[in-house]
Amino acid sequence: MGVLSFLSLGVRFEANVEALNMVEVSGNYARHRRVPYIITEGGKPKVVYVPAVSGESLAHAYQELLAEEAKSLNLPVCSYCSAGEFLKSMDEEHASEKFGGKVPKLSQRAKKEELIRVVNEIEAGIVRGCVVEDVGGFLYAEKPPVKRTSRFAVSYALPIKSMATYATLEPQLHARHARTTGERREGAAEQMIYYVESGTAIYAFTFNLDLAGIGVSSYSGAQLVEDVGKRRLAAVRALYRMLSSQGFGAKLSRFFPVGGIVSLVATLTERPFTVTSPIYDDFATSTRQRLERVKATFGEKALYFEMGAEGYRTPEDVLSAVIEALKQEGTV
Amino acid sequence: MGAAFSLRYVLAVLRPHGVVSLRVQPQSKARVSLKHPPPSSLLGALSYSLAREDGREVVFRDGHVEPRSAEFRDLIEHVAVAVSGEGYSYGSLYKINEYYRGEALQAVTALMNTFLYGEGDFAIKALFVLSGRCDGDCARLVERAAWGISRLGSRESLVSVERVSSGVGRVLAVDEVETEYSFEWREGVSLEGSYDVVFTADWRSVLGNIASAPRIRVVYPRGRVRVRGKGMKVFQFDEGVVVL
Repeated sequence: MGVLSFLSLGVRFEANVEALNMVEVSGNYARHRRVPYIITEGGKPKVVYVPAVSGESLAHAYQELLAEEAKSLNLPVCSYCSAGEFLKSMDEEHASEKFGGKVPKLSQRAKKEELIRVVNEIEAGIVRGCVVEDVGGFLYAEKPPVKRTSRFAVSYALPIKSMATYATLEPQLHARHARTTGERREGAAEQMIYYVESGTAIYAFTFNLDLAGIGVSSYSGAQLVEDVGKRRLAAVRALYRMLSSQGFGAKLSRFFPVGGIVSLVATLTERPFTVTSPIYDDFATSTRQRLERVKATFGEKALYFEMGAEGYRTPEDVLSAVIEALKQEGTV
Repeated sequence: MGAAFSLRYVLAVLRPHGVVSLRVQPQSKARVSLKHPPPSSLLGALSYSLAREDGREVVFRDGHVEPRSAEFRDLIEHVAVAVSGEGYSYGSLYKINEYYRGEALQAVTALMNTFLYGEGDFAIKALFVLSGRCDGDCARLVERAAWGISRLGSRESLVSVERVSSGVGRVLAVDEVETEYSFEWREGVSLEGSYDVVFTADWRSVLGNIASAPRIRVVYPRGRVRVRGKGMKVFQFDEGVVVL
């Protein structure tokens, strides 16, 4: 029997009048991100556009919260990630603080042994120096290039399929006022109108977190840090905070979505297993059936948590139970 | 019909979570997204799950770094895919603002994705025909790894595996066959039906630098196509047939 170390979550949340993810700003009109949704009309396929929130947007929020959680547990976070600038160690300049200004380099005629040593040193240095890059991955695009795959993955948040065509995008009119007392600026209009597109939908997204890969080298599989358990705990707690606080997306200061999480399913498994996407109405049933199949076929441990079932009334109930299970397992 | 021999297979039925983001390599500024999953991406998706057993994502070969799929490639005789439903490519325009050391910069860019998202059902069937050196234990490992496929391409392209089946199929030589699975187009073969042909990296080659990998022409049937060619090698299994 292995250890429960792969977490997969399916989340549905209601968001009324939100501006969580904006693109294609043109003049005074800020458009909401939209994605194509294929319907059939008169026997022919037709594309309509529905609001969406990108996985990058959700990933950014998660990594900001991860930086905070890591620091609260006295774990290292680099200056860029601390500031919410997830450039990661993309080049020598951004990696140098993890190496006291001296990033390991290849010699002119490097042989295989030296290549292996240098890429291992670079990855290890970055992982030791920053929890966000340990969990969120990076691509060091120098010579030699060093790549670390993100230990978490997150889908787009899309309107659930059964109600996607009811999702709306509406421009909201706003006005910005110029000063009418004191010194007046030449040519300044008293009012400047601008528009912000707001979306309303029941969104769904999937979030995977591979706890086994945290603090572990992509190149050798060796453990690189002593504080693996604390790092894993920070990773799970960041996810808890993100969902509990609805702390993701843009324009939260004036367009905080009205609504909240309406469904949540989580699984903990020994090896990778992804919940059925919550964009489908049967996602909870399908996930449970698939998980039972995997358990029966391979004799693995696996846990299933569902909001609204077995006493889990709130998202926090589910996430607390997940953390408790990981503590009992010794994973965090 | 020629003499037959047997090989094991693993078939994974994937449900997309809306987005399948697979980049055309080498990338241009347009950063186009492929409409069909190439064989190399399917091998990579399976390899993630296999590599997690010991945590090593890469291998060092001939003085350079290769993805771990280079190692697992030896377990696989053939990779094919059948996609139900048509993907739709779309990319929002991004206006990127940067304020760096006192200087304000602005750029406009776009990033395409392929959306398998609509009122119909979308499914991706990924078939892995295992090589002769993959015994029963190895096949079981691949079967569990297939259940663990969690994304195709970028970290936004999540998929869930709804079903995995495995068994033994037969390699045959035939002159005509009907298939829904992708296959490599070769000279002397005629096709009947609707399909796309895509130049993509040869999954059997060195994939350390996919941009310079040799290309193969892969046929992706839209529904089913009839393929004719003298003495074609095909793999027949419980749920269909694939041109090798």
